[in-house]
Parts: sequence; C-alpha cells; structure tokens
Amino acid sequence: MAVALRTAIGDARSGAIPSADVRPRAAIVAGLGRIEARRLVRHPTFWLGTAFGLTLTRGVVGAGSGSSGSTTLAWLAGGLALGMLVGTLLSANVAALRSRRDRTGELYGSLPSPPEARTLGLLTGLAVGPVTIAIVLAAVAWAVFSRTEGLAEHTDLFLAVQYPLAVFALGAIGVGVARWIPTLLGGPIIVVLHTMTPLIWLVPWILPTTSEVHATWHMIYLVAVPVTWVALALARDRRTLIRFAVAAAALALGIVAAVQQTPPGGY
Amino acid sequence: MSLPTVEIADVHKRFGRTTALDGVGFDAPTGITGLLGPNGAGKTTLLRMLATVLAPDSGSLRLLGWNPAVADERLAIRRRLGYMPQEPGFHQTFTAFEFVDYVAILKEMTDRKARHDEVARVLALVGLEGVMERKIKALSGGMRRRVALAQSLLGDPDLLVLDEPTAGLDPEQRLRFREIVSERASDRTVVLSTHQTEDVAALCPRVVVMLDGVALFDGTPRELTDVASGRVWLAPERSAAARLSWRTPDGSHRNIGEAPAGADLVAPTLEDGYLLLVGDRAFAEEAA
Repeated sequence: MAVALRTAIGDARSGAIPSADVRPRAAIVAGLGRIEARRLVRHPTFWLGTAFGLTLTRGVVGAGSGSSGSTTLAWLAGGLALGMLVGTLLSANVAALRSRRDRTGELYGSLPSPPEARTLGLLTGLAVGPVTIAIVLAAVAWAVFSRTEGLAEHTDLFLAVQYPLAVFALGAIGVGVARWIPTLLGGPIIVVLHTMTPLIWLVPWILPTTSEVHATWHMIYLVAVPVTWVALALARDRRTLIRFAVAAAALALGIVAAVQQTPPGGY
Repeated sequence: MSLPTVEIADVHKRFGRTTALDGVGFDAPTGITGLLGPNGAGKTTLLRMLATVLAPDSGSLRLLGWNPAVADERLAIRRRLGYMPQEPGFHQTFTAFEFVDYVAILKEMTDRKARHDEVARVLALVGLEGVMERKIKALSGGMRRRVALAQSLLGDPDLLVLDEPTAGLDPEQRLRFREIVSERASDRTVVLSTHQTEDVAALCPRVVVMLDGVALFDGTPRELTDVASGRVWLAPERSAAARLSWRTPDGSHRNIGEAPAGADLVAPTLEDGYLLLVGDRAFAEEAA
C-alpha cells in the first residue's frame, strides 16, 4: 500500500502530462495482444508452472486410487491448475511491471496510444495465450477424466469451464497488482498469501461439483474477481469514477459469491 | 526562413526548490535546431516538454501549430512526433525488431505487413539490419542508442526531438547519424540537444545555448563562433589573461579570453564561442 501511495504521489509531483483523452483502438490492442500472448506463454514461470501441474497430475493418476473418486478428482483438478495459475499470475505481473522496470514510461508517454492500450493489450494477451492453453488442457483433462473409471461419474463440464476462467482471473490479479504495487515482490506476495494461508481453502479456484460447491456462485466469483482487477488496473491508467465504481461493485459481488459458494460446514 | 514549427515563450519549470527552466523562449523553424549547454542547463526538461511528456508551470508552447496543453491537440502532436529520450529505456528481453515493432503499434501503425516493413526500414536506416533479431540485452550501448533513434524515425515524423542522440556513438556512427538527420531536415523540424559542438557545427543552421534554464544565445553557428572572434590566441604558456587554456598536441597553449596586446590570434571555432559564452556568464555570476 505504501508503495502504491508513493508511486501515485511521485506521478503527481512529476508534472507529467496526462495521456490524451482517447480510447485505445481495437486494432492496437489486438496487435499488442499478439505480442503479449507470445511473451506470456514463453515466460519461464508460465511454462514451468504448467509443466509442474502436468507432472503433479500424472503423479496423482499414477499413484492409483487409494481415495474416493471425488477426492482424487479434487486433487487432479487442483494439481493440474495450480502451477498454471501461479505461473500465469507471476508472468502477467512481471509483464505489467515491464514499462516501469525498464523505464520506458517517458518514451511511451510521447506516443499517441494511451496507457490503457498497453493494459488492454496485456489482458488480450492473457486471453489469447495462457487462457487458450488452459482451454486446450481443460478439454483434454475433461476427456481423460470422463473416460477414467472412478472419476467419470464425478466429472462434468462445470469443472472444465473453471480452468480458463481461473487462469484469466489470476492473470488479471497479476496485472492489477503490478499497476498499483509496482514492485517485483507484489506477485510473489499474492501467491504466498493465497497458497500458504487458509485463503486457498476458503476460496479455492477449481472445484468439482462433488465438493458440493454452489456452482453458480462459484462461477460468479470467477467472473467477479477478474472484473475487479481489470477495472482497478484501468483505473490506475486513468482515474475515472466509472472504473472505480465497477471495481467496487465487482468486489462486493465477489465477496458475496465467495461466501455463498461455500457449502455449510466447508468443502 | 520558414514559419516556426516550435514556438516556446517564457516557459518556467521548477522541481521542488530547483528551477529547471526560468523563462526560456525561442522559435524553431523547419530544419535542425541544436541545443547546447552544460549539464543541468535545462535542455532535457525543455525537450521533454517538446515531447509532450512534461507540462510547463507557466509560459506557452506551440508545436506544429498546436497547443500541447489541449488534449485533442496534444494527440495531434503525438501523431506527428518522433522522440528519442536521453535515457530511452528498453525491454531487455525483446529483440531490436520486437521493441521497435511494439513502439510502432503504439504509434498507431496497425497494418501488420506495412508496420513490419517500416520497422525493418528504420532499423536498416540506422545500420541494425544485421542484428534486428538479437535481444536488446545483447546489444552494445551504441547499438541501443541506434535502436532508440530507429523508433523515433518510425513513420517519418514532422517533428523530431532528440536528446543527446550521439552520446555513446563512435565516429562512424555519428557520421551516419548526421546523414540520416540531415536528409530529413529539408521539410521536417528537428530539435536536438548535444554536448558535441562538432555535431552542431556539422548539422545545425540554428543553435540555442542554454544555461541555468534560460536561452543564453540564439543564432547561427557562425554567430556563436564570432562570440570568440579576437579572443582566441596561441602562446607557449598558459596566459594569465585566459579564462580557459589547454595545451595542444603541438605543445603550444590555446588560450581563450581577453587577448593581450600582440597576442598571436587564431580563428575561433564553435567550441571556443560556446565556452566563452558559458564562461562569460559564469564569470559575471561570480563577480555579482
């Protein structure tokens, strides 16, 4: 928070001219999105994380079914996603910090495209790169799980749909955190907060319906989280009331959804 | 002389207690205008204003006929502007091509084929066609400066603002730079800052000397050279009358200042004029 405050004060004091009041053109965002997608999926944290998830999945499948089908599925679902989710968050966070870290802000400030173009380009890159890979992996996993004895009866489309949504949500968190806390520590801190604290058990990202999660609320949660962070990221580029209002509304909805999705007595 | 495309009037800028610009004002017409001045003179602050990334505290600017304080006009300026910052900053893991391509997209070049052709053209222009697929972190300092210059040339801008473009370039690259910039100056406006008086002498029909946030001199290189006319002489030793003196390779001393009677006067250079001008001001301040 102190870093975010210091950054905002520094920006205000620098006397920098705000960017021209222009909406980023779709063709520019698409062009940037192509570059960002390539860079995100090539980033070591992303492909190492994804490889880690696949290895974990293979390990669980190879270990045989000592537990119930639903428990095994929960492990498979979480394991496959974990590395990719962390990798996406970290790679998106690093990408969003690039301009500040490499001090290109002055050069970019002299160009006609507003800063939102770069933020939206990065979010588009998330959708084109990591999310597309998540869709493919989820489709393959769904096909495999639904043909595996002991897992088939617990596998449904709800499980598969969560992968790309969760990947985009974590990427959006990475971007939003970088915009407001412009330090390389921001991403790892969020990862630690979410994986090393009870938070991961309170609001997990990937849940089979067999865990008695309230599916609709969970999907609302998975949509509300990225909307919150996308709005916050764009509000950092240009502070408008509507962007903060959207972020606040989505945050409120996300909190309600996080509470409502949890079955009585926990998962 | 053509109409000014850059008009600067009584511009002030402070950073905390430091006054960076203290009422600077001059016009720059089509062609190349060189800014000379010691470190801290306010050159970079002024160029950042011309690049529309910094607003003055007071005073007025018009660039290409537009006012950068007005959002729509600022956008129009940025669409016709090429800017090479003093410390451009690079994405180290990008290749030279990727970086310039990224900037080209932000310059609203959306047609992929045309953009890639343009990126290849500007990289070839600065002599980087052989290393465009190399990562920026693997390029030498001089090559990086040329990447920065290449991005500023994208789209052949009407106004080119270059902050110390020749810093870190070897003599051959500097000659190439002069060639590139002078070719563009016939119908474009170039404002560049430099510490190299040779660059100004070779390139700029117009020179502005800045010191302590004001324009101390505004004229032609010939006029700046004339400031030292009759005030440069050679002597076997350092002269007590000299404000500046250094030993030349042939062993004699080149003295600049108020020449004593009978001194062996020599033709001044632009550097002599600049040093004397800046030195005169420093002496006057010291005396005050």
